[in-house]
Amino acid sequence: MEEQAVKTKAGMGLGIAGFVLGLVALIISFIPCLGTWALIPGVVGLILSAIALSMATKGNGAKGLIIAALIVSIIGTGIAAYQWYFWNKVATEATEGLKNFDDEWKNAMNDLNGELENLDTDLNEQLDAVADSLTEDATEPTESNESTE
Amino acid sequence: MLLKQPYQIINLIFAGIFISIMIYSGFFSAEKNNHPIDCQVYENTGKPCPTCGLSRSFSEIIRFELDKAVIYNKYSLKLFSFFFIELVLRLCFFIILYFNFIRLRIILFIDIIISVVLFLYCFSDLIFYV
Repeated sequence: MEEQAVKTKAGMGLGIAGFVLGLVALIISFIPCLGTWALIPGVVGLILSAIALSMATKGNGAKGLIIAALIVSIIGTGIAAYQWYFWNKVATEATEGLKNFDDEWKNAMNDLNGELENLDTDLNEQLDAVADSLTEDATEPTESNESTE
Repeated sequence: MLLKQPYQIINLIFAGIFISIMIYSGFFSAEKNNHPIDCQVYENTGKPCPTCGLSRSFSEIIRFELDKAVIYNKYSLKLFSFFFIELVLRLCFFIILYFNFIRLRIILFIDIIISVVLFLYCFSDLIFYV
């Protein structure tokens, strides 16, 4: 019982570093502008805490702070990873959306161009028809005049 | 012993981090707009996020231009107050423990309660955004 009660300082330095980095990662991860940057201190804190935990286990060191560091680092890294995944997904979808919009826009413009060309040919045909009818109307009275004379 | 407890070392490190935030805000200016950190959300999506303008806002708060600070970012006062109160708390708890006014366990309990409540209050808008 006495051996268990005496705790060494094994892994304490790394545990403190891991706790500080984990807490920094946790705070930063809630700021959207910096969210993904929290991955760096979070992962480093996680590694340091894990090393500190193994050192404390081997050297019979106090584990309270180290476990707290591990938990805080995991939460911070998790939130930062979620933000990284989320914004990556948004960026990918936005890029695909823009690409699709670009294709749709080109198709719509081609369709519009085809419709305009059809309209142009229709209009030209109608104009020709009107021009023909006008020339016919212009020639008809002279023929009638000639016949009367 | 000045640094006999890990808690005291952590208090000093966090006090240093919060002082660094104050120095960063004071060094860069909102008028010159020379802050080195860009918003990743804006870069990826082209739309501003709730913390866009936070650095400029902190720079204005440091210069006691609170009206301008709120224009740059409406959550800045709450967020800055979190960092400032935490800085004061770190220094207070360090001094209290240094002179052994209160036992470590009680200080730890009080610190955890205050810090968690303060974090939830100051970051509430951002927590729900994330």
